[in-house]
Amino acid sequence: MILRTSGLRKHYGAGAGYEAVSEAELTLKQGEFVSIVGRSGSGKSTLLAMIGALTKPSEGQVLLEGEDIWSLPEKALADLRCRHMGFIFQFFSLLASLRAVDNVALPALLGRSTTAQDAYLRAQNLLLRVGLEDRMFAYPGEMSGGEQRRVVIARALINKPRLLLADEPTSDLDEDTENDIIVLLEELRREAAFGMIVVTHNLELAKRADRMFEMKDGVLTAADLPEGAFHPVRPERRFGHTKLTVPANIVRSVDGARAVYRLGENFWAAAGRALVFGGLIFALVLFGNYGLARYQRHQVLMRKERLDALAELATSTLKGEIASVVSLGERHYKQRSISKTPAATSRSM
Amino acid sequence: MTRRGTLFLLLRLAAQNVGRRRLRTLFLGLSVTMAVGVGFAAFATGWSLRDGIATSFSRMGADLVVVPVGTLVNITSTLLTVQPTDQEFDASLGEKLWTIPGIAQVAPQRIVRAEVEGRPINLIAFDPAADFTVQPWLPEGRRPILTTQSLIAGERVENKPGAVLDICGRSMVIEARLGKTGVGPFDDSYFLSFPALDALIASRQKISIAAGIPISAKPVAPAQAVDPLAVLATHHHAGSAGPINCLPDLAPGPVSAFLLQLSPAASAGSVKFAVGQIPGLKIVAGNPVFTASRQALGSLFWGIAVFAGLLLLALLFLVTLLFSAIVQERYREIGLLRAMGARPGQIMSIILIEAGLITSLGGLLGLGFGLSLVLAFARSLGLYFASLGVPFAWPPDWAMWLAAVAAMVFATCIGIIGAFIPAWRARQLEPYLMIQTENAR
Ligand SMILES: Nc1ncnc2c1ncn2[C@@H]1O[C@H](COP(=O)(O)OP(=O)(O)OP(=O)(O)O)[C@@H](O)[C@H]1O
Ligand SMILES: [Mg+2]
Repeated sequence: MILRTSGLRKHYGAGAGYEAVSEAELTLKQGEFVSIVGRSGSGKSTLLAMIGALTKPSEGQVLLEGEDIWSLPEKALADLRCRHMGFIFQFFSLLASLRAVDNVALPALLGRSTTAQDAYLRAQNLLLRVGLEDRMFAYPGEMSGGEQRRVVIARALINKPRLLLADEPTSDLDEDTENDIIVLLEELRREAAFGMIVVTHNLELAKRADRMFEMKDGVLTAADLPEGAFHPVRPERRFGHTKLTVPANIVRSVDGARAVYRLGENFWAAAGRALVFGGLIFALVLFGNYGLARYQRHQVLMRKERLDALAELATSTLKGEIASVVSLGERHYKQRSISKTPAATSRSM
Repeated sequence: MTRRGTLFLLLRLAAQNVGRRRLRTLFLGLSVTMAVGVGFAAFATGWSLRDGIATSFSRMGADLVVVPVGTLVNITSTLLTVQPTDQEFDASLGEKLWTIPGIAQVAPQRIVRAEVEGRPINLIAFDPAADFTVQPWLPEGRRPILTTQSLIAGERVENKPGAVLDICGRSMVIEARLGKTGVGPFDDSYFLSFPALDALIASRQKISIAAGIPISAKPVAPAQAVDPLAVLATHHHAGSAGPINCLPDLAPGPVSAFLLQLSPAASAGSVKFAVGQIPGLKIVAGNPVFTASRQALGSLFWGIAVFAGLLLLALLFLVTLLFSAIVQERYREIGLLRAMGARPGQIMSIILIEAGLITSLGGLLGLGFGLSLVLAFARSLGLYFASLGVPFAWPPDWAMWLAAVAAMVFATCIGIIGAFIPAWRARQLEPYLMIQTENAR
């Protein structure tokens, strides 16, 4: 037994509030597959989030190998999420700014237990395993819903978790793709022997579990698996979309491992361009400023020289007659005589 | 993985995030560029304008001049100095004047007649630290450090900068020449610091002791006023054209006049009244229009500076808010990172590195932008000022560098602080809630 919950309750809001989960007793053995079905709003996602260390229960315990996870400090909780849990969310949960391979490698990178190259090699193998070797360097926005789902599955498994929590892993997918995902999850579980809790609306998927539960208004109850309800996946579909025949861990190409070095390079390129562009403009400004400054200095100097020359001329020839020479603008000068003769305006040069 | 390796990886992740969100990064970076550029340019031009205004108004002379009661005063001239006089009072009066409210600056001057190669010259001793009427006339950007052997020449003085004058056996070097003030006694004088004058006096005493002439340390009292021309005349008639005539028999210390500058809010009338309570002195008032305009412009400048400062602060708040909002907008992403097992420290690092990348890049570009603004300003308003003959100088290099560094630090800080606050708050939120909030939209 790896997981046990006891007396789990989740109460949203203050006071009366809303009781999303009021009673949930659940145990999970090593490598066991448990499914949870229930109506919308019955509290399935909330229960899964409490088990996945994402939201704190109002009451009760989540024991992972006997240890109450919610008594751990935040750092330890982060490490627990990283190493022991794989989470597949109900909605789009990839980081849009990262490529598929970065998204898959990210939990391993955050876990700090391997080198970046190792993490990327593993990510590459997992992507190959889920049939996405051609889409390794695609951004999430460039992928289909089914492809995105497979990336998320690969990401959830990168740190070899003991527990995979999948919240409606096949919602919004067409029937064929849904089937592919189900097959993929089952095969992966068989290979890596992780425990799996799957929340689903898909009764067919739910019935493939070792045990099935039903959530009803916040209360989790065991549901009987109807005898003979198990429908094996039609064999002709098995390899329709996923290339499961490729065995894992045989890819030794360093292409994927090198991908880490391309992480963030778009920024450096853009920053470089921005700086070069800014530098060019600045150089242009400096150049223009230099030219303009020279021209202006020249203008000022010319003006001063002309004034000086005129003043010199006026005072030397008409000694005592002229008190000052004032510029009236371009080439107009006004002499002010000391004597009573009227002021004369002259045009020079 | 090593600690450095992890940090490097977080840097890569942050760079990837920033690089993928081009438009957002562009606008954030531009806002920082604007803030840094405008702040930097405002500082540089504000400094220059204030300097220019202060220098221009200082050139119009003192608001009030305090002289001994017997001094002859030429009322019409701008109050840059006083007429040559023998009337002097004790330097300690300066401290008394400082204590009078409304007086912003007290600049002592001592006017002394000296003789060089048989020709009489005017020496004006001033205190470079307190002075506000002599140094503004120095050519733009030149402020020689005055030693006891330095002279500054007035505009109409024959000797050029670099020339050496021998006064009382001391070689005095002309360091600079002042601009044309149109005030006769000012343009015809040589200027020196008080210690330099004291050194001259000491040198003269040495000469006279060597010549066997007793020193009559003349007490300085207005009652004993002597006509300065008569003093000189007797010296000349005595025919002793020896070096002893290089300076009259002076004691170091006294002062001929105190030039006063009023603080912006002070009224000339009340300051005059307060100064008038001190016996034995006469007050000369400058052009009241100049005084009023200087006070008004001074206050106006500070008003504008405060206004500009507030605008800049508003801009900083906006940029901080922008960074803050962008982190909040990404709560879902942060929630996902935490669900994948990112530690709080790792998330903080990614967010802060992202903000730092944008702000430092924006800040760097902002410095270029600010410098361009300053240059544009120099080529337009600077030229206009120069053509008007208004002194206009840029802040010294150290101030520019300091402003550049401060602007960069500021730029980085506003982004990082803006991002830090919501990121710190995010630590306390549950991952599931963070993932849900964004999803609900
Ligand atoms: N943050 C929250 N604050 C308040 N109420 C919440 C919050 N999150 C969920 N709930 C409520 O708790 C109840 C259970 O929500 P939950 O998401 O667990 O349902 P679910 O069973 O996963 O539904 P679905 O099948 O539609 O995903 C819902 O009624 C929902 O309104
Ligand atoms: Mg749900």
